[in-house]
Amino acid sequence: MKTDTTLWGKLDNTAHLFPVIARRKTPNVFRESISLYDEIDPAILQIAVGQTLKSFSGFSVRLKRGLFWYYLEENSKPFPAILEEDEYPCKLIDFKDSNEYLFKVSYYKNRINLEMFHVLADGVGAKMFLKALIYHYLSLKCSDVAQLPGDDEFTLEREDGFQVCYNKSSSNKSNYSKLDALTIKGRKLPYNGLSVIEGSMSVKDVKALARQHNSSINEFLVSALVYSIYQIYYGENKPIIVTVPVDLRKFFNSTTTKNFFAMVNATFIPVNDDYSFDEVLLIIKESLKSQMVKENFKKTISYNVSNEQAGFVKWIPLFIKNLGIKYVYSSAAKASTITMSNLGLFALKAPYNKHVKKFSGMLPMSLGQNVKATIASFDDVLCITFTSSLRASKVQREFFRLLSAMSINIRITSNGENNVSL
Amino acid sequence: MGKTMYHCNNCDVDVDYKVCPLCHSATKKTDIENDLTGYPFVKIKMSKRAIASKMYLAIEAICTFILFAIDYHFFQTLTWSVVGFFSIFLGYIIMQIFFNSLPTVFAKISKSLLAATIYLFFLDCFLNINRGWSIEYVMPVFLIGETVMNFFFTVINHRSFQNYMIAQLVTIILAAFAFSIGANFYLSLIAIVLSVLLFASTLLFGGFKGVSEIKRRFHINPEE
Repeated sequence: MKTDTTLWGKLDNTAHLFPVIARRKTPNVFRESISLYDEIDPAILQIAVGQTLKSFSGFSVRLKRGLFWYYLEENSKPFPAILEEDEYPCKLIDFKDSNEYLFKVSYYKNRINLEMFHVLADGVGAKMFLKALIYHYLSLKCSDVAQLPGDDEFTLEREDGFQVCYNKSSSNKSNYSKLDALTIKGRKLPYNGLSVIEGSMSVKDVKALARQHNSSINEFLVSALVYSIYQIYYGENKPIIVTVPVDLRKFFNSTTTKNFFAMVNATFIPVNDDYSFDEVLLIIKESLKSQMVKENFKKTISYNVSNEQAGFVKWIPLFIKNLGIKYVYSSAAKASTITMSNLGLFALKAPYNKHVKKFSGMLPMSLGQNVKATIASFDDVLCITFTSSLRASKVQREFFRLLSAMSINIRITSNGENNVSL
Repeated sequence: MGKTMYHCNNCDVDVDYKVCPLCHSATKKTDIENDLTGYPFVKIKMSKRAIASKMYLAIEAICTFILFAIDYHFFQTLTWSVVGFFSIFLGYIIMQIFFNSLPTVFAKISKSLLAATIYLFFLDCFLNINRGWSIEYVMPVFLIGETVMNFFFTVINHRSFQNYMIAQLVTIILAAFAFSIGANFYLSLIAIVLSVLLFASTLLFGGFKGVSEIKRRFHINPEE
């Protein structure tokens, strides 16, 4: 009798949502990119992906549909050929083209793009994979970095952080915002197009500016974004809510490469007539600080996991569960104006780091959010990337103008989707 | 020196293009070297499937209009034209099933058969002649057909036999359901017996691999 050795695993708590809501307009595929100083060699990149997958076996999986839940199953198919980028970023992954892999690797000139379906990992998990990929690529390509760094550079943990940190005795009350937030609306780009506007600046300059305002870089940039939206929609008294994903690994001492994040909402409700940037910053700082505490995240985890583990929920067939998930998601989507995700610093060991120029990220569109922003940094280059499904780039313009007015030197590149205003 | 950056005076930023992507105004050339990577120009390609699908819909709209016009003009009713509309629409659904990214031929045929059964059910409800035949005959015949097709696919593709086990289980449940809502006694009994036999024999011959698949699908003890 033959034995079945195919490995499989459950999705993490957050990942249950993504297969249900993934559509062409809301693909739930995010991108992380690394720009090197030299042009990319696709043949070497292909080998590097194969080598990386050997160490990150948790990423060699396909998504399958069970009777009650989706699950991940080992994928023994070869990784598809790596092609030059010729599509909009963050497109829905066609599982036929990707040999059922849940991520895609492409290149453009001197940039390597990793696009990942959120079911597999969050931004930090993808960053770990990308880091390993860069180490493998550079060790194959460059003669001065022939040796791979030690195992401490590769985290292979695939535990479900939510289940590990779940405490049954904690309160199971939802602490999600129920406010009806301001929506950034406008004429959409045709053919599900996605505009990309990327601003590069000095980390030191932004850090110094944030310090002047007595805040962290994250608080400062989120406030700048809120202030820009407030300026555009002046007079509309709807709450401006910036959703900020928070990496829970540092709060719960985890190193998992699966999804392990929670959302906090930086909320600004314009009550008075006129606000200065400093006033907005103060409100946003308070809003973020009040939510970025371990106790708050424990409550979120407890609420999410208890919903998943509820006896009756377990036995509801998947197609009925999906209807419920879609309903909850579409109601929750109203409570956010925009998302700003900070992927943090991409650190590489010497001498690898001297080959890398820039690290950047991109978020896909989601229900009710037509503009999103991602912050990423490498060395002294801070990269803020706006992705949008709208023709107009009002938010991006106000945001970069605001930073520029504060003496930040910004270099902008775009994919040209906003260059022609019709 | 290669390409240089441009400067937008309105936004006070350096950009890599002659037009500022933020305010769309013309920019001024600078001496700063452009070392930004940029993004490729995306060519919008409409797939052959999408073109075929749109053409089919257009032809369907024209045909439906003609059918309705003839039916109403000559018979002052809308009966056979509605049947015609549903038939053309069934063709569209089946085309979509075969075009979309369903993983296997088995899934495509199964869904097409299901679509045809639902179509016959609608016809049964719409036409006031001997109502109830879709439940009594079509449903059990569909389930027998599904079981026979499943058997052939399981035998032909025996290395991946476990992929058909969930369909076998669903067929058993549907056959029991058909039996309970008054489908033809003999036909629904044949559907139940065949589907149970097929599932049991697959489980028996499949051994550990079959049990493993069921565990996976029912989410019991992941081996990760």
